[in-house]
Amino acid sequence: MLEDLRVIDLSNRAAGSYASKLLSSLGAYVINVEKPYIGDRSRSIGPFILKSMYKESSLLYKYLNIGKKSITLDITTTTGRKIFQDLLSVVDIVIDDSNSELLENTIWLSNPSIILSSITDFGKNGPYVDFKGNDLINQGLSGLLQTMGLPSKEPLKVGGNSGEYAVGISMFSGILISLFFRDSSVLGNNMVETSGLQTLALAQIHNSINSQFRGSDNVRRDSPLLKAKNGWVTMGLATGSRDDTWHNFCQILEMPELINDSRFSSMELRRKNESELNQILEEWVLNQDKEEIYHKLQNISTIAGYVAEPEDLLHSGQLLEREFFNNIDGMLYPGIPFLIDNVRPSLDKAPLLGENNIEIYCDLLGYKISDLSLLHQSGVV
Amino acid sequence: MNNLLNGLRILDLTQVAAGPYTTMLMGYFGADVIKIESSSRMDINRGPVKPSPATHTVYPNNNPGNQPWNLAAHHIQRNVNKLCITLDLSQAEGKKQIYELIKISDVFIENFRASVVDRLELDYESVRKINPSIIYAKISSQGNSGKEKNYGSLGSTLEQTGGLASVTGYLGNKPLLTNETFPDPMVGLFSVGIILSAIRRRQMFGKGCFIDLSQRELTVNLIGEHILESQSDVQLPKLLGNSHKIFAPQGVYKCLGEDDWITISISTDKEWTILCNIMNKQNLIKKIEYKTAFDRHKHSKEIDVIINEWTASKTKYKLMRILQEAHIAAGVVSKGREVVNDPQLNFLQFWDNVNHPHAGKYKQVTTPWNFSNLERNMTIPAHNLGEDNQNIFQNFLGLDNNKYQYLLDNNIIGGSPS
Repeated sequence: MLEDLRVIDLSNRAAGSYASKLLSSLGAYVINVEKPYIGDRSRSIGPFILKSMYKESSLLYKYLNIGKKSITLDITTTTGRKIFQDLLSVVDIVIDDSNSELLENTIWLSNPSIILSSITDFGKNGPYVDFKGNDLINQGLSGLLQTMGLPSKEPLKVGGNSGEYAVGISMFSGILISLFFRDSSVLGNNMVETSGLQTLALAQIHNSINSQFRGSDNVRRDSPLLKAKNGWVTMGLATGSRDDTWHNFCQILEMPELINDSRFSSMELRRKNESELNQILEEWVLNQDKEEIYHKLQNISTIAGYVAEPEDLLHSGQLLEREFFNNIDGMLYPGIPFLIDNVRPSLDKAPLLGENNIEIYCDLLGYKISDLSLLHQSGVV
Repeated sequence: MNNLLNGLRILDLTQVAAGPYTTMLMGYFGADVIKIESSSRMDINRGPVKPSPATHTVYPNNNPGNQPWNLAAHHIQRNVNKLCITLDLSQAEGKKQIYELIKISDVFIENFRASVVDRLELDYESVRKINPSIIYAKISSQGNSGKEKNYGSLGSTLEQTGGLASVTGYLGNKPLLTNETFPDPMVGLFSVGIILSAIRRRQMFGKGCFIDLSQRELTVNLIGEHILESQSDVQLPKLLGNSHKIFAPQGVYKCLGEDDWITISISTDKEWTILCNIMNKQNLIKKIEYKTAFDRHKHSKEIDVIINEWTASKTKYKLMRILQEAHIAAGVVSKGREVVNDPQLNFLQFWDNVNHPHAGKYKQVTTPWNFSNLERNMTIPAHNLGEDNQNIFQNFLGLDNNKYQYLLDNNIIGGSPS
């Protein structure tokens, strides 16, 4: 869908890398511009394949940069900057997370039709412009953090790098909006900005609603997870179920006396009396396999869930049946989460540092191989 | 107001959160969103017809009024920028009318359990017969194939089945859910980009397409590196609380004030020295056990005690000011009523001041973007159930008064919620 587009990714955080990965999954030609010798920051962040860390063993890098090209270029040198300008003349989109004004000017002087896509923690201007943030700080300021975690403890962040991926998703969709504008307008110097603060404030969907309309702030609460034989489940009986679900559930449970129990006769009541209900179910759940509970209960129209560990996902019948994973060098990578006309986009493995220098500098920009080796000797490439 | 997506017509059969977010966001750029409900099956966001005292639906000032379905706060917040019509799709005449709408629309978006559209004859094949260039976005829990295709979920289910819960929790504790149904807004935000890509291709080549987005698969994408790690030689604990893999200390600390907290993250040894100076604990700077991030990770429990002692007597806003002035990453943990007044979010024009005709004044979530040459529209407050029936069926589809009355009388359009 985006086969006509070339993208330069200058970013160093997961957000930018995930945004350009999504563009790549839709056909864009994405060039990851990395620092000579060092590479993207994610190359030195784990998890790693082996205990010894080196720049080609970061699984975070591999996951984020699947389907892209890698070149090395030191844009802080004069020569490097000149080469960068050549590169700018043949691309449509630049993704950046450095918030550098100098870069802005260079980009549009070289090619005013470029869409500059900027990722920051708090935006490019405003009262927090000099603030330092990161995923945790942004989750706090956005209103997301306050209501997560246990009431007896400190607020808890959403795990892993998921806050960063959120910003990547936001950047991806923002770029598409900006692209629409560029395609339909004569105006140049198009910039689209997103920030961790805004993206995560969009992701808190209950906290600001409840406090404004109900007049009281949300509070942290424990999760309704029950312990099964081999992990955790939720029963999904308090929302989204059908009229006959409860009846069928009591049959599965072999507890017909619960069918007419007035504490649990409607979804609202089951939600209200959830902890009482969970106490009754505890023993039954504890002796069952988590995935079996999930299937049994989903089949009577509940929205039951089981906490899938990464290794469970690798064995999930549903994900395997949909050929969700890409097998690359013997490892299963989570695939692109959509199919277009029943075809899932598939992507090549992540590039080694500078793997595509010849393809891009020589084939695309017309440098001679001898030029490239000179640049290599001087450390620009 | 004139905007980028003017003239783009979206038939929106989604409900709850993910889909409504997508169409809300596209509405901010001028797309014409026609939200289709029926009086017997309203968007779940509208809550129950007759709320009991046990209801968890939120109403302005806790007062559901005479038409609770038009006041439910989650409906008010997510169904902005849309026209609301009611149509009973299980009746032949209802089907005929939605087919008429499909003919004149560009995008069809739904998030039912997968088989529902087959039953309603609104699956991609049926829809494409009526409008070959339509873009059909199916945003289902598990995707349009596989044995779990008809399984249902909310965001809190996806956190489990997509693995997000397996990495969310306090250090060494059990998995936890976010209580903010985190995958939902992610899917909503993601779908905007995919749908726009498809529209762009259609503009170039005239081809519509079928988008099969699995919410579970998108959730798995959020923990991709953990999936790879589970196959590698080295596996570290997945539940890390608020700590950072490299930086230390990093955490959430108690401040003066009820349930008031601050986040602090120290990313270099130099910042550690600065923090020790600010805390007036110079003795810690020299302490060899706390020298590097690696050391501080090892001693994070005792360091957290020291930081908590210092933060406990100060307000979170004061702490944020002091620490940020010293170039240390720190921020208040905002409560719901605080985040709508956040000066930076307001500077970025993230919140719109909306005066809803029934629900009153509130601050509306808008979009996470700022553009150099483009502005989003102002929020159009959420419409009542079926508010736009006459406009759509008579002005758009050209039904005469008799026919319109016939559809009303037979409960094909309109009718009271039941």
